[in-house]
Amino acid sequence: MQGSNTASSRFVLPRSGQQPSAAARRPTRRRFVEYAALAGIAAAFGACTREGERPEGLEGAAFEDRRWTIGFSNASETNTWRTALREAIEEECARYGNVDLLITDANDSPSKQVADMEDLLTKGVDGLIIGAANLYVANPILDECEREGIPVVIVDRKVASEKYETFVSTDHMYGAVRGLTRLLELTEGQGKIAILEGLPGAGPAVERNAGYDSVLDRFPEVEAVRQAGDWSRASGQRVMENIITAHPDLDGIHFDNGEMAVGGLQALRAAGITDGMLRANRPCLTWLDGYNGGLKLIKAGLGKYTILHPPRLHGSLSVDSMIRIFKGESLPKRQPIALDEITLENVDEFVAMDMPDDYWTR
Amino acid sequence: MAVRNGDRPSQSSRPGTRVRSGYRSRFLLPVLDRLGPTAGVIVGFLVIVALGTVLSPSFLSERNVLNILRQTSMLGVVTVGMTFVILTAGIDLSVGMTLSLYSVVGAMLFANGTGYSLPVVILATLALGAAVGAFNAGIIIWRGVAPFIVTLAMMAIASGAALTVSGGKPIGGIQGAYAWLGAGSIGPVPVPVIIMLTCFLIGAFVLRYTPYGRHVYAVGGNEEAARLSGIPVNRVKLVTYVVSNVSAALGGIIFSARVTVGDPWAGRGLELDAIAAVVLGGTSLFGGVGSLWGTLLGALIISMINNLLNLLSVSPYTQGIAKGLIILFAVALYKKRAA
Repeated sequence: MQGSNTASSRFVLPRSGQQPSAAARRPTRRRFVEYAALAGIAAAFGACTREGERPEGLEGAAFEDRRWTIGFSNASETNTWRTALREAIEEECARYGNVDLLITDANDSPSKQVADMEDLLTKGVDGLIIGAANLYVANPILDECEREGIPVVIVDRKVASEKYETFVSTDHMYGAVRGLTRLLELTEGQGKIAILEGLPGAGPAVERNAGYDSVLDRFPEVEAVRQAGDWSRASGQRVMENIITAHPDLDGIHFDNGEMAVGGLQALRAAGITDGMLRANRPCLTWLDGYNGGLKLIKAGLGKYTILHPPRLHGSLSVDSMIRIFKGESLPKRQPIALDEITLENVDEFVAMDMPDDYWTR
Repeated sequence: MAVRNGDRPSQSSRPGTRVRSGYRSRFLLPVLDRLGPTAGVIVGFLVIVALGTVLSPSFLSERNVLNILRQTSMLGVVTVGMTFVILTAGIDLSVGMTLSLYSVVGAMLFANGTGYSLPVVILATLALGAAVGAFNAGIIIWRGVAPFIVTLAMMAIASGAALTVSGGKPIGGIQGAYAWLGAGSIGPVPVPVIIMLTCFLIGAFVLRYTPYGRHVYAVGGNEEAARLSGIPVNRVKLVTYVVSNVSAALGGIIFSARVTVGDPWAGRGLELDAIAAVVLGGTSLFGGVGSLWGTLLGALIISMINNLLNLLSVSPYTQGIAKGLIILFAVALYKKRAA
């Protein structure tokens, strides 16, 4: 142990093998216990030590010679995509014997995420992976990371700053454009369609909605009904129930993700739309992402088209990028993840028929 | 009844408030009694500070203490108004979602710095807060509807309004002096912390030394008695709900300044943290008993719990359980005394 990382690694809970003594660096700690107990608030907040500053010498040691701590600030785990992302990051970190991982979950609250990231920096991480709750939430932290020389990998959701090392993501807007364009091709560019959008205000939903706007501009004769869900199966079902009641004559439906498509299908069946009608494109269903439950529908011929948005690849590539940064490599500013298009012809490569709906193959 | 300062007028004969028997009184109670209703929160605060100091070497570092204070600032400002409301035996569930609305409106008025000047933005946002609060109070007073349901409805309205005016997108471009309100500091003290402490000072002064402040306690203690003794109960309620949403508006400004964005989801769930902080601080949900300084400690406890659980790398899934248990424990410390 080079002694450079003692303060940060001491209280890393998972997988930390040897624990260097941090107490040696902090002879006055015991005094503060007494202060806090005796003198209360004033003393507690007045008596501050100068520590928690980040150790120097990142470049000095080779990657294998020391332990590294990666912090991952997750915007939320309110849908299975983000849970799979977190699991992939954990699994990838576990492959290295000398990498510790700290995870926070902001539960979709921007202010909680700012606090989370501040706390991760206080603990002293060597690198930060951020799945941002919105476009701007990371800005103050990115400034701080730049000042302190902490590398940042942004995953999945775009941020409005350039102060990061690399951005690992699919192109949400391009995916949305491809998906909706494909639906309009299948419905021959006319008639009436519905779009179930994602969580209002969340980064990917904002980008995808811009993509939908641009496609609809090119097809002025198409009448589009647009409602928002929150990417959950329940919201897909609820919103679809309402849409199909008001508009029973839809030619096509595009869902912002696979979970909403699975929920929406329940509503369509309840409204009397049979599997045979769906296979005959009355209405035609398309969506985005490789949710296994959705892929099963494509395999059954009920949905016609989706585009992969693979959480596991996002997770493993973001950790891999961080390790390469630790090793001193320089990375491209943007690392796009390929957008595989999935139809009945190639769905067998992607679907896991014997796994539950919530399983993400990639 | 051991509450000092006459915080609760005409309550001394209330049954069940004297807890002077048995095991408890021999040890803790004589000390706690002297401290009044905030005793529990002081103990809880010290326990968490001590735990944090022992468990995490970073906890009392200058950087982390400033983090905790900054992380408390938005919640803290909102709890000032919430304390007023709960002291009158009311509740304001709207403050979380209205805070989102104010943060969006402020960011849109500011418009990347090309819109209105900062003082105008702040005053307009606070004025909107006052209007929303007056609307809440109007329905509560005029129709006699329970504050719970009126402010619950306002929560839905504000959520929809925030999404409508923002088009569902976060509004960026908070910069310059506006961002300084969130990121700057005067000496070592961050600006949002100064704003929060100023609110607490003003609030405590008002509660303690102005007729309105005394009336807040009287209305919460016994509304009918207050009315009969000539206190303008309706006016007190009106001012109280205005104060509540004005502090939410200030919270929205602090949010935008700190996160550099106006976000239609900014304050989601914040009302529950605010209520928890006020109750932790020893203010009774039945009104009439409590103090702002207890609330400040309650808000600090909430932030410290979040901060400490992160520092200790507690799994995000487990954090909710730990947070809930700590709050329950802290409230149980003095439940029989405060409520």
